[in-house]
Amino acid sequence: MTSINEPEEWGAAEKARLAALRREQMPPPAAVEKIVHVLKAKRLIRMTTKSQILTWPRLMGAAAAAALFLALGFGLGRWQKQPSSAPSGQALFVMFLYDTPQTSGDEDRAVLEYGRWARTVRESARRISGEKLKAGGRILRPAPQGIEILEAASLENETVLGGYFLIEAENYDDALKIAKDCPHLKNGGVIELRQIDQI
Amino acid sequence: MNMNLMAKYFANWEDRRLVRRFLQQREERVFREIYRRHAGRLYQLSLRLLGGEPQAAEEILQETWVRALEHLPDFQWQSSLRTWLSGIVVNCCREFFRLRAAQRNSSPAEELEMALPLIDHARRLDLEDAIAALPSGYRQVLILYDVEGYRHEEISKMLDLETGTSKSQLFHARRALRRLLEPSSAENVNRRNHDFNK
Repeated sequence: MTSINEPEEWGAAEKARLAALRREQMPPPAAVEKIVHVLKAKRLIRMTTKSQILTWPRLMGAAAAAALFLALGFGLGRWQKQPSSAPSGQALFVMFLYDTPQTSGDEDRAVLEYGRWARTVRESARRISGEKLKAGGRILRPAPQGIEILEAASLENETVLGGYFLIEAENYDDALKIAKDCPHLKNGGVIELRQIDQI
Repeated sequence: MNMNLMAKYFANWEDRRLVRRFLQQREERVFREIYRRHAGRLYQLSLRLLGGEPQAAEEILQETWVRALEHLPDFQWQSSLRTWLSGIVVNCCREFFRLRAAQRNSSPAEELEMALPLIDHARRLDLEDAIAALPSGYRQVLILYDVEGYRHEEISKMLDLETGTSKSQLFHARRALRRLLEPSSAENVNRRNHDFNK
């Protein structure tokens, strides 16, 4: 007999119907504007900070400049051509290194540690390359007037992309083994490992 | 870690990043990011809890964000941001029901009577209609447990109930929902009214 404290269970068909219920439905587009207006009036959010907006005429100029850089880049790429895929049987992986507010360690020591780790990887007959990224980037996203350019996160209170390594490995397990030894984790950072889709 | 857990882990991580960033300068564009991530789920929850009233659901959504942004600096991340926001939606809906019940001077059992004329008894109810037709107390527990996946302990905190009450509400809600989903007949509707008013 079913007791009130042991609710009668749904059958498989009923569970499936419940599972099929819509989980998300965006409110009408005007709702967000109304909410933002109310939040501003209550001083719970402030006005959008000045962000650069590339209007279409400026965008055309930027596109022309991009085309020029692309042509130059293509020339450079031919000049210092490097293999873009791993030898057969090997896969290419990218390790994205994120710095968090908890990431610690002085830079000189970190350079030595990362260098030592990279040498160990290279000595195991795997290719490795990587770069540290400078702080402060830009985020580009489409906007009604063109492309909006926003400042990327700063390191003070954020998780930011601090660098990357490109490594060769046999498979994901092998790549994970390499990534796990990376001193970045010991220093409080976070690593995202992704396989390059070599189409 | 399965894909769902991993997705939740990364969602939570992204929420933390956005909230930290928002609290630095309370920028509108960061708020819009947070809104975009959660508004769909919150609006749907609110709509369902209210039994399908879009205008009231929008008002609940607005009030939810006002309260959330007022209390965001005190949020301790003891739950995910989504769970916390959902709790605010539930509270706002409960206040809405209390206010409406006071205005109409009606009991929760009478709410069903008011909902019934909206239902076309000549056809079999679909699940959304049937959930919407439940009295609000049953509906809240059923939605939070069976649709949103919260545990009784979490529901009891959200709704300020004893865990046992949450379980018994679920029991009655499921039984009532089953009956509502049976092919409708005058007999079923009468029996349903009799059960709810007992």
